[in-house]
Amino acid sequence: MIGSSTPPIRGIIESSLTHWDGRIVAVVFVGGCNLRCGGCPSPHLIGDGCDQGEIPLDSVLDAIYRRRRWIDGVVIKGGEPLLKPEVLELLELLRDFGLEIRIDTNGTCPEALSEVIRRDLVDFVSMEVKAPLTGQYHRVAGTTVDLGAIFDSIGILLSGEVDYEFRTVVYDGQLTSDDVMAIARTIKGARRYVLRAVKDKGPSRTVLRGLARSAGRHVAGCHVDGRPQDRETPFALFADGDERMNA
Amino acid sequence: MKPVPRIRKRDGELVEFDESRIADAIYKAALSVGGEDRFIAEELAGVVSLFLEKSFQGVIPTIEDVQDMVEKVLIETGHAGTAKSYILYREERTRIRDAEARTRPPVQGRLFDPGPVLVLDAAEEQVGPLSGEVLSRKLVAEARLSPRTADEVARAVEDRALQLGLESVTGTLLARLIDVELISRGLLKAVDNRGGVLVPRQSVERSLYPKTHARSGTPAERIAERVLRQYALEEQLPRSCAEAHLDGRIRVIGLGRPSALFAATLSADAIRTWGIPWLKGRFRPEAVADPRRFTALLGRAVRGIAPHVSDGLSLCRLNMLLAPLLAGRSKTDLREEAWHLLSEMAGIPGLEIDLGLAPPPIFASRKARGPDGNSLEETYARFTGTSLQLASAFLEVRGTAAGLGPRSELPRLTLTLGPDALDQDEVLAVVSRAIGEAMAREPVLIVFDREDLPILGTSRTRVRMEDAARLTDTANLSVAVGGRVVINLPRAAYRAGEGHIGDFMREIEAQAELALAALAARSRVIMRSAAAPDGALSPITEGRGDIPPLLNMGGAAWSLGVAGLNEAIGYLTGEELHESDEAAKLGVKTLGLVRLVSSGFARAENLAIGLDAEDDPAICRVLADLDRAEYPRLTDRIPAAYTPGVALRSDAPVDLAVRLETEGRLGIPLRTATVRCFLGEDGHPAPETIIALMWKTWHNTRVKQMLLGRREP
Ligand code: SF4
Repeated sequence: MIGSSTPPIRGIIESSLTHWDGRIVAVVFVGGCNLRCGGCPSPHLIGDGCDQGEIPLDSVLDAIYRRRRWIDGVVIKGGEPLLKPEVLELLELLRDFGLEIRIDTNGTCPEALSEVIRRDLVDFVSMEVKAPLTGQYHRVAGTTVDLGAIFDSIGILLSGEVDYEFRTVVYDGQLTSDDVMAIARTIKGARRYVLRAVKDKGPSRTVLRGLARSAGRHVAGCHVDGRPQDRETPFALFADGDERMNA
Repeated sequence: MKPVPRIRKRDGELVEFDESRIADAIYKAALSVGGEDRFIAEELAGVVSLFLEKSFQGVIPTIEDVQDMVEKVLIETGHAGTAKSYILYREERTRIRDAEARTRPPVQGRLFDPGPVLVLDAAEEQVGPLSGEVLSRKLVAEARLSPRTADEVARAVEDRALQLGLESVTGTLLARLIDVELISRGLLKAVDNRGGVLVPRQSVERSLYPKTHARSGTPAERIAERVLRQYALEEQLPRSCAEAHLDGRIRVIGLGRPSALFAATLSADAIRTWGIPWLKGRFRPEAVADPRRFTALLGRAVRGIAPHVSDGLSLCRLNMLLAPLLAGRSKTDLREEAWHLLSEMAGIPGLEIDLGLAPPPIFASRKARGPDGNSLEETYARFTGTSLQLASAFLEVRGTAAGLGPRSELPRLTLTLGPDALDQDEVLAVVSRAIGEAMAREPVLIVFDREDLPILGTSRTRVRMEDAARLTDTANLSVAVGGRVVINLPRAAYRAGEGHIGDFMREIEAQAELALAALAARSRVIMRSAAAPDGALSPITEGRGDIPPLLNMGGAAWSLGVAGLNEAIGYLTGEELHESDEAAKLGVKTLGLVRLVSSGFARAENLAIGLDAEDDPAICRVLADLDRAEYPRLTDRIPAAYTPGVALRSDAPVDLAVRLETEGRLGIPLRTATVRCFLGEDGHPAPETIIALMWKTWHNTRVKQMLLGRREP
């Protein structure tokens, strides 16, 4: 087996159209996370014990190789992929395939982040900013967080050496619109900020769009993640009474 | 050889043929001229019965026939004396019979008595006396009986009607009386020749008062379809093909409308240039130069043609052909025109509007047809901007469907992409809009037109126009697909048995041959209907003077459909198409064989036959139903409906890349196959991502059509 010193790979989506806009990608899930967020979408990936089933690296590389004509890149997700130094070796292997790489991080590992950027092992970083950088962050993350590290990661991305976006998942009862504005001010000047709500647990899309408009005062582009019709307003040709006639 | 079983007496009664009575008569005649050998009489009677059997195959001889034969045998075997005595005896008997007949009072209700039986012929809306003469003439013409037998049958039918004490008979009852008479005389061939279609009263009532709302068409159409389907199965198809259709080995499409084409593609420019064929005149240039007036005329033409097409009708590259009429108009104007066109075409079943994104290369550099129908100085490439904006307008207007009534009534839009289309930003803007519609509302079909010569047709059957000479004119951008017969692939697997690949291939070949024979029979019917001076199709298939036909039947294509490849291979190998490379390879091999058989047949019959994926869910369900009925032990293994065409099972656990590659490979031997891509299962991909997918599909595969949507409709 190759790559014995790579991080534990817990899952793979061989080809996805929804993990990196404009690209068809493979998604690799790395086990292990240092946070304990209440609404974690993948709690099975938090622990890094090998008992949870690890996918051998060569079968991951094989699946990617077989789809080489289809996929543009690989998204590395966690858990927290930058937690383990071995991730560098995985990224180097993927780079050898000529693939673009995106890393989804929680921003707690600024050294590893600057290392992968310095060694040109990443093309796009998506960093989740979970809350305003106050005591609230520890509550949302379910553990004590080194807020200095989060600040550092934001700074690294804002420096613009690599393409990036910031993300926030808005849960009802956890973040208010003021909180979202506070985050937007923290990442002031960012190229792209994406807001997302989890179905039935967050605000409606209309509310989210309103939030995005307000946050847009601080960042260059604030988007609502989701259905394509949110990306463009359908053109209405006639008075809306006509549309109702068809209902 | 069997002796003649029965003969008909003078009064019409049928009696058992008795050779010993012939021997008796010969012996009596022989005695009167001094002969006394009974054995020779029996020998001669045997010869008579042998000759009768030979000369009256399938026809019941009368007493006169038998007596003629006795005379002939006696003379030809050298018993002239006996023959003479026999003839004298026979004449004597006739004289006595005639005398008796003259003195006997007439029998009540006999033939030609006053007060004949009336025939109420509802089909012809006529009433008249039952005439033996007329009936006999009809029997000669319809049942192909000899005049003499026809006379006898006619007489027997009249007698039967009288014996039954009928004052009048309906046309239906009379037809049955004739059939009974023919059958009782063993004249089955004549019954067959008479043919005819009987519609049970219950079926008529079911058509008039349907129990469910799902039934389509008017009662008249439903009854007509039923009658015509039966007629087609009994009279137009070879018996073996009709049987194969009924037991589910093959499926002949459109039997209820035997003279309708399966599909057709029309060029709006043909209407613009040559007028509406049945109106027999061209339009004045100013009528067709105005888009709104031309839209109305086009609608009239399409409505007239639609009844002659059973599956689908399309208007090809409509945005490209209308662009010269609309050049320089604002986007709002274009949307208005699109609205009017969709409104005009609403409610025409099976209509598709084909939007060409980037004109076919053969037209890009050609002079465009101007508003009045004449050539302009500018080429089609010069109108690309308007053409794309118009395509976008169609997508927008159909998407909102504002003021147009239910979306299901509107023509479907398909997008045909030419080479390099996906590398042009203006085209991508239209494609993005189509993707938006597909993900928000209903699936959109994208056609990959990879060659220089354009591909034309409907979503279910497409043909590449190979005739470059015809392509000098956009008015010729039309094609007719005459008929389709589908091969039920899983049936071949069930007939062969699990693991029997060699037998499977033989069954496939046999089914393909049946389907092709059926297709050839369909082609004869269609071509006859197209060529008949007042035939149903002739207005659109015949030219007039210097005006060419709207649809050139000489270049018509024919479609051999395949369905359920996945289930066929799954049953045969235990692995479905997505489960192993071997399974997929066997799929390719199977289709290759069908293609081989069909191209040999196509050459021999001079028919342009192509292989298409059958993806109509109704047909895929019917085939599975027929297979369950035929193989009850496999009920659990046969799905409710077969997987369309050559596709992988819709819920096969494979990612899109594998689906596109595998289905692309399986589709290579086919003329038309659609890969269904439903992308909304895990989130909502961005339009740019879907464009990336389309770009890779174009470059990495030979996929012909993609149906893009959020989820399976
Ligand atoms: S950082 Fe992400 S993976 Fe880790 S606990 Fe939070 S949500 Fe889950």
